[in-house]
Amino acid sequence: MLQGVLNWLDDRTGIVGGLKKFLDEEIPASSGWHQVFGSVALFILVTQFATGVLLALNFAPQPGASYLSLQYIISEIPGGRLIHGLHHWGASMMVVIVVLHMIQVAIWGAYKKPREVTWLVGIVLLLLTLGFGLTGYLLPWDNRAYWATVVTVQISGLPPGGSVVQALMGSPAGQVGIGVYQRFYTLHVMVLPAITLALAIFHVFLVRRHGVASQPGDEHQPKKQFYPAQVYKDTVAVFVTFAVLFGLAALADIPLEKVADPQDLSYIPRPEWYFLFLFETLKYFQGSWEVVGAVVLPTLAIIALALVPFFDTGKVKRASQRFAAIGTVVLAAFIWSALTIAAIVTTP
Amino acid sequence: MMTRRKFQEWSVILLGGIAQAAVAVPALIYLLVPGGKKTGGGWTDAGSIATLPTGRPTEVAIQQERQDAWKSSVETTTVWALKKSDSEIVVYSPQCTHLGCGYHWEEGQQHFLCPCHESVFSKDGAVVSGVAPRPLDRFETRIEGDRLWLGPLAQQEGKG
Repeated sequence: MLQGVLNWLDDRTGIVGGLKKFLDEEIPASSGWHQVFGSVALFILVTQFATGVLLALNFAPQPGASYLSLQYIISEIPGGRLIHGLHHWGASMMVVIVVLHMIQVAIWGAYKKPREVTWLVGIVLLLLTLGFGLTGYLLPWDNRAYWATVVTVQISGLPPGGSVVQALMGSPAGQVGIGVYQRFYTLHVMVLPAITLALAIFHVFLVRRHGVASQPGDEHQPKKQFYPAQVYKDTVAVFVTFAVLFGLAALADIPLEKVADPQDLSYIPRPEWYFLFLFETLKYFQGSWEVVGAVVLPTLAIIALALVPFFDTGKVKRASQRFAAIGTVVLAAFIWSALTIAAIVTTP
Repeated sequence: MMTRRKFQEWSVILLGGIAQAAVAVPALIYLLVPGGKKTGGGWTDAGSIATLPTGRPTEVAIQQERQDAWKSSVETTTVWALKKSDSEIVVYSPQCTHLGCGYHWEEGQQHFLCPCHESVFSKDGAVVSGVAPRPLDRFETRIEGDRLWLGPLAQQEGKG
């Protein structure tokens, strides 16, 4: 009976055969635990989508009302605190996993020809992840959200053409109010999810098109099947990640500060931890140099990362023989960590 | 003895299932269990009874506190009050018991008419004709001095 239904469906859609092909895909003998991060990122993406939809069911996306509705979700709806916690910590978890994923790909040289576009799409997905963080940070409309976004809007005005960027953000005069709020919300729940979903599917499609990157020596080993050995490892990794995420959501309190107060000039805004490096960088660039620290250097860093597959074109994949490429990634990771730690240590 | 492959297949189902259930169960609770503190049971001042005519249903505006999810507000709504005597006042909910439309008093015909699906109620709230399933709902009432107070709504039994 079930087999009959499946056959009927497969004849008309090819879905059953497609899934089987997906699971039976051959992967190199060297595949293993180091390749779980992509699946984990995909899992967090799905969790963020699901919890985001659930939050939106009770969230009033307007300055002021949003604060009250979030308080209502957290304190009065059964399960609301947990759903909000999963979404909040999921955002941080996503940044961690995406960065680990990139580092793994870099060390294993998996961005090499013909996988340059897969890497580039990955960089865009990283930027989208940060975009989600930036726009989502404003939505609770507490003091932290408000003042951090004031800084964001001011930074956007620094480079040439900054006033156009500010106008696009809904803040023609550099202030934060309903205009910025509605645009950040629309970006966060409509524009970014649509683009992210499309690019994530394209990313997975490219991974499948080129197959999992092999390592030196793989050509002498018999290939493995994706299912069940690799799916098992992916599932264990997803499970561990989820256990951590669930633990954070259930146990750690998320500080909701007092409602946004534009008169409160004593407030020192802090960005989310993954933007602290930028926050720290701004302390070293003053006056007309500010635009260098705030915009130019981060842009150059992203361009450098994007170009890695184009200057590391040799056939060599062993990390020890690819000094420049590995050096770039290690340096980027080091600078990011150092600036983040400096920001945490030096900030009251 | 379980093979390595079987172990992996079962682990995928078990671990994946636990993670999914850990999201799905709170999500269902979040969707199905109503949130918010219980409100209601409060009494609302519906004005002086001296201004109500005896024997003729009158529309009375009242101010009600309303807690809707995260939003508290005071809203003006109307009810239909029928003063039978200075000590007996019946107050009807302003909504038809069929599908919640607003109805009105037809002085000429001496009945309440709901324009949506043409239910007709007598002065006492009983269903005279039409599709309404039960008589008009009534507020609990209390008279203190010359003030009329409204309590919770109560459904009336039967067709009236």
